[in-house]
Amino acid sequence: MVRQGVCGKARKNRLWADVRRDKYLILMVLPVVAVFLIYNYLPMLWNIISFEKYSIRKGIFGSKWVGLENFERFFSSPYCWRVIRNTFVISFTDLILGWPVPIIFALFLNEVRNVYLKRVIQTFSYLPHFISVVVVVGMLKIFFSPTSGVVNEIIKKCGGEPIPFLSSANCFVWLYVFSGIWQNFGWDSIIYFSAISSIDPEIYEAAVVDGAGRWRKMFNVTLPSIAPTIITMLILRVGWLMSVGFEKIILMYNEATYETADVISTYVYRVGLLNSDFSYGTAIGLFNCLISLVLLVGANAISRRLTDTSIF
Amino acid sequence: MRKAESRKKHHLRSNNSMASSILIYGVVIFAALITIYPFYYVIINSFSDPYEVLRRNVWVYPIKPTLMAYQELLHESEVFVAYGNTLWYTVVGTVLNVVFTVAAAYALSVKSFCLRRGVSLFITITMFVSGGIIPLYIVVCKTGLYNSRWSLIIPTLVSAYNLIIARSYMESIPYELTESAKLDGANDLTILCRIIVPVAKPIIALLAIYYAVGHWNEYFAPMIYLKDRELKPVQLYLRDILIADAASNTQQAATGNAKTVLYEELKFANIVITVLPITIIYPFFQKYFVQGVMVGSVKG
Repeated sequence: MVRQGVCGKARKNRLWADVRRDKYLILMVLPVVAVFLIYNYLPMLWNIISFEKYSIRKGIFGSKWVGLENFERFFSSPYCWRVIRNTFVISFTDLILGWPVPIIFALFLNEVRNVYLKRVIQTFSYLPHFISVVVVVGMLKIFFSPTSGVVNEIIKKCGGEPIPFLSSANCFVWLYVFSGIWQNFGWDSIIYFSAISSIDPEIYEAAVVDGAGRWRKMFNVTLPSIAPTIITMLILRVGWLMSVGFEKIILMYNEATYETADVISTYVYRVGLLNSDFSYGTAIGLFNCLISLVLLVGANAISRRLTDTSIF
Repeated sequence: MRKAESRKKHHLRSNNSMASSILIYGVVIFAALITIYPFYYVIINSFSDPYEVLRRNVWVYPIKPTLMAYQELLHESEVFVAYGNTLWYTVVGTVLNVVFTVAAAYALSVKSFCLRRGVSLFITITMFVSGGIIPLYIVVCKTGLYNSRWSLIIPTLVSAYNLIIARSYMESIPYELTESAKLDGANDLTILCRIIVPVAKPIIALLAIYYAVGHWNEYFAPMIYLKDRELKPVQLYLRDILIADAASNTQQAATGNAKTVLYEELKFANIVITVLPITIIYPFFQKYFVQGVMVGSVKG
């Protein structure tokens, strides 16, 4: 007993010594910890309302507990399948088309020998990454407008019929994905550039001695050398699959394109914030979060097995 | 740099066929043109004669150049209010973001810090799990930030991702640098201000541009948290003009013919004034990007 007491006291003293030694460091992290606690962890706790019939008046403790009713309501809703399907279709299309473009761009730009041209092209290609979604979608509407858009002007000049891109459910996914690629291929290629620049030039020299031409070197030296980066980026993208850019979709879609454009997070936004059905919206959001967590953990496990790299 | 030199030499030695050069240069230049042309199109249209803009005649260069759209913008008090708000959010937000991120990143980079592991984990978890938008919305309202300027500053005071980047960078600062100061009796606050901040300038620049661009471009948080028109940032103003245009179109048509004619051109001019500040500052920060992406790819 006595011994334990002394031990506890010693531990307490050490704790106090630590606190006194690190007092400024604690002061530095304290505001950040507080903000994360309130605006990241408290909302997690508030997910409890997805099991309630929450009303602002009654509060989180006074509202009626309904168990899984909100989830059942979602799974039996006609929109359930539609929003899940759209989430996966949009993010998979984005993944499959958006993943190779920056790699090809980096490989090709690496072959450009004129340093100034290379730098100018890089500067241009990063630029759209810094433009707001509002501007991107605004430009999209200007360029693809059925009455006056540049794209339809070209189609008309070539003798085709103008296509109502923005109100066509078939076009939505392509517009979404290609505008995303347009905005981010340059930025996403940075990581491949830096991977390429760390390749040992002696490998290239050896390849040249063996008589390898430009394409040979690209496929047999550069590509295998950056393969770990390529695979890591792919896995990261799989992990983030469920977080489709809903801020962009909210600006892009309209009633005519809901059929292909409405994803889980936009549906949450509409029912939860626009219709103030907090409990129902939170339940769907929680479901979305769970799927993405499963995907993330799965992708990470595969990554660890295949490439020895993992994000956690 | 030396690696690049030797690779260049080696490229010169290798035989290159004309066709593959054309393909490579063609693809790369095409990609650059596709990224830059929309911006160019917007700029030349904003400076052209409004009737030519309406007829979609402006493709390659401005036709009958005029500043009409910009002069019209000068009369729109709403633009000034929105622009001023965005400036406030960007400046105040970025300063607070950077100060708190740098301080926390330094604390978490100190190996002997007793809360290091705990707080790092606490913050990393939020990168993978989130409470969702509705619970966050409720918490923001409950903490009294609804319809307040601070709703755009406090909940996003520090981004977990940026904090991890900054921490990784500071961990790479040699230990000897701070050790001697510590022996001289300097406390952690002095070390942060006198030693760490000057050395960490590149990462501070990077954090500043990430945060500033984020504030400048933000529209979703202001859309859901702010009610008063006087608080709205320029992105929301732009959204009303560019995207929710059906309603405002008729409104514009009712206010007079001159404005209707200018309506299309005003869209272009508005895009230009919103995008311009970013395109001006961004080349100065470009050299930090590669470094930033590399530090960011190191796992947290």
